[in-house]
Amino acid sequence: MSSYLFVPGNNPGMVQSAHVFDAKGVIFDLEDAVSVQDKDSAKDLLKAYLETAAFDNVYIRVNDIYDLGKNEIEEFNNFDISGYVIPKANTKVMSLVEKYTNKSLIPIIETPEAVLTMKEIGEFDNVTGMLLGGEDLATNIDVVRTLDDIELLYARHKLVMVCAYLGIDSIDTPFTDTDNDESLEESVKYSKMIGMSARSSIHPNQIPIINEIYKPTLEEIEFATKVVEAAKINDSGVFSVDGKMVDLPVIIRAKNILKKAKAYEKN
Amino acid sequence: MKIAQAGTIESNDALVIVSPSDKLIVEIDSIVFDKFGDAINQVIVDTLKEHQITCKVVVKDKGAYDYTIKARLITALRRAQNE
Amino acid sequence: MKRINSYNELFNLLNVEDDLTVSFHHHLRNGDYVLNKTMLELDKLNIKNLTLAASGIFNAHEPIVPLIEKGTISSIYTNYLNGPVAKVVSEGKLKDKLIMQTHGGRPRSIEEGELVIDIAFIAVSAVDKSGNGNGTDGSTVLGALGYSISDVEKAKQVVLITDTVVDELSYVEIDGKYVDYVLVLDEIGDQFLIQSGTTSITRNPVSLKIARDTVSVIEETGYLKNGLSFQTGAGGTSLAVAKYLKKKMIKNNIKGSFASGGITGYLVDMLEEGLFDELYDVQCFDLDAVRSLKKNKNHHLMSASEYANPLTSPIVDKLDIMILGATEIDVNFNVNVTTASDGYIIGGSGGHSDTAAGSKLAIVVTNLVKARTPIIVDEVLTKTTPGKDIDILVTEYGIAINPLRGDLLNKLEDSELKIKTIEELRSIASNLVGKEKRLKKSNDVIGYVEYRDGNIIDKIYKV
Repeated sequence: MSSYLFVPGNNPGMVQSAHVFDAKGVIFDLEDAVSVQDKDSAKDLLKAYLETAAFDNVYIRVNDIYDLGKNEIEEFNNFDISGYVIPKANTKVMSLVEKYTNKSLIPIIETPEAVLTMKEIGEFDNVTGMLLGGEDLATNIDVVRTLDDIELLYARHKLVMVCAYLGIDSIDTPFTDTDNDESLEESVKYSKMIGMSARSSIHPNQIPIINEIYKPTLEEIEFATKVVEAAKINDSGVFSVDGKMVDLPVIIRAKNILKKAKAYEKN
Repeated sequence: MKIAQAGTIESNDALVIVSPSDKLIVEIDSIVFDKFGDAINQVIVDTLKEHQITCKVVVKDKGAYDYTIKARLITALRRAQNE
Repeated sequence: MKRINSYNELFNLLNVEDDLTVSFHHHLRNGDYVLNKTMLELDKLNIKNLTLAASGIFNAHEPIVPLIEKGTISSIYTNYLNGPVAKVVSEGKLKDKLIMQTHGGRPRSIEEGELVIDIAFIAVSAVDKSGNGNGTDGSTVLGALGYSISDVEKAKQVVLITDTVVDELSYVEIDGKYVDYVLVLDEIGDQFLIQSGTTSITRNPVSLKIARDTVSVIEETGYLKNGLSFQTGAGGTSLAVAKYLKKKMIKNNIKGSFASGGITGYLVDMLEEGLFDELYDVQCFDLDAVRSLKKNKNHHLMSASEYANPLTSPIVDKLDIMILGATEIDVNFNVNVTTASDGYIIGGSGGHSDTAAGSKLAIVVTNLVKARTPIIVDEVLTKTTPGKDIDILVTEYGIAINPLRGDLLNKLEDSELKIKTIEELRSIASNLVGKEKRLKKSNDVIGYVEYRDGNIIDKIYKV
């Protein structure tokens, strides 16, 4: 699966059903989706919830590390969660966070500074992925979000390159128009096409659309299977399958597709 | 300790109001009272015991699970003592 | 046929007395004035021990509560019962018996002569000079009148009640040859409330997930194919199934044969887009359905008997896929849509058990838990539909296949869907909600659940 679902941390109805939507990761949010006066009750709710429920790939988006974030990280360190999603990340923030926890970290790239220092942010030890925060980034460069995200072009493509280089997940920004499934589909197809390893979402109804697009198609699987089979027989380097030339990069891609396809069987 | 509250009256949530009292008083208004009134009372009593607090607790429950009621009570107690 | 303008005049002509059985249909739903007015007028004559045979009883029928309490109405036959009348009946105020029938069982019992109707009071939107009637001409629009047809054909006396007389009807649904009297009133119902039962398609993420998985299970079990026939209940999740089915049919280039039951604008769109060849309409849920019924020759009227009477060869027997709701479903797949978990009557079969029995694939769609109340239970409080007629249960936590359908289990062996046993789902629900105190039934029987064939399959107890 290639989807991350943000879930408001103070909403019991949404917290309790967060894991039924087949998102790859669930990110319980203490930051933007929780009002200032309810930061404490969201924390209590998530703690009480996590004492009773055990799921893989649960993350918590904490608040600003210079504000409530530090304590939140320390309080949730004893819970069985995968890690933290870190807002307003930069190298200074990450060097602090590193001291507070050994859990996996997903910094959010949402400032021009973070875009420019993406590689350095991603190089911190426990970083397993980086998430593009499109809304904040757009605000920070003083532009309006468009449906095709032209304004995020540079940041998106750079995130793919840096994460591929570092071998970590590149997680694309949420698509915030929750009533526009057609444009969501276009946007997620683009994410997949340029190499984003996952898409984040703020609405459960978007998860199946994201998963479906990221799932290898039957045609892809059939072709990949043929390539891998043919590669077993032809060790001469270059050969052709269905009229297409196959060399090592194609074989590696085919193996990756079959690996992904396997991950989609039985979850 | 003063009066404080936490939670909401939305579906799957509970509104918990705590106030000073020498005696333990628990008032529960729940859409699932017949089936879960005892369970809700038990969570309240247990959580108060854990925190070694005696007070009055009023619960307006909209089908919250035990951990939600517990969380709302913990928040309300902290708010009653801190602020 | 004689036309009259007041109840007084009507009751002088009819032979009204104690112990009569009077019948009504529920096509006016929550906007119904006819049942209330008629019963209150009968009450003025100091009549006792009437049997009320109404195909459905709703919130709107609160005015007849006192008639139950004082014995004017002493027995009720109905297919669906909720609101204030359901409350007093649940509390044991009905003197004699309550029989909860099904949409197919009712016309069967009427046509077989088991349920003998003395006077049928049939609301119609318009009549012509010969006493023919329909539900769509005139100012108060009801739609198809399927649930009234057996009453009209079999009752000893038939009274049409309308607010509109026309020279010529656009079509005839009720044949004037059966009609004894036409009573013309100022108004028969509240148009807004007649329609307002309709649900728009939900945006609730859990419901939509269930709906999507339901369409996946339909596809993977091989029922998504050309010529498929389909029906859905009116619940939010059930309607959402239609939405995803439509998407999938378009994507896979599938053309269905028919959709049936209560018809909504959504099904009308599918008919008009060529996704179904025909609609079989027993009642219209909205004005889009009414409009289509009047203009589209492939949108057919059907009587409740043609719809679901097990002794004819009803439409439900030709159904491939049926989407159903549940208030409770137990580990033996028995479904309760009759009583809530507190024991009060909140509905009834309607077409639930008819369509479950008739269709090739009967799928129950429901949340595993609603507001801490588990929907899967060890034993349903009231058995509305026997478990043998339910094939699949779809919840947000997984899908259970009735073990009687080994063929389906085989087809789903390699599925990516979360296939679980119903016991597994039951225990997930128990773990979520915690320790629950189940209602202890009282010993006082206040009603009976009558299966479509006339057999009593369960009792309903006083709250």
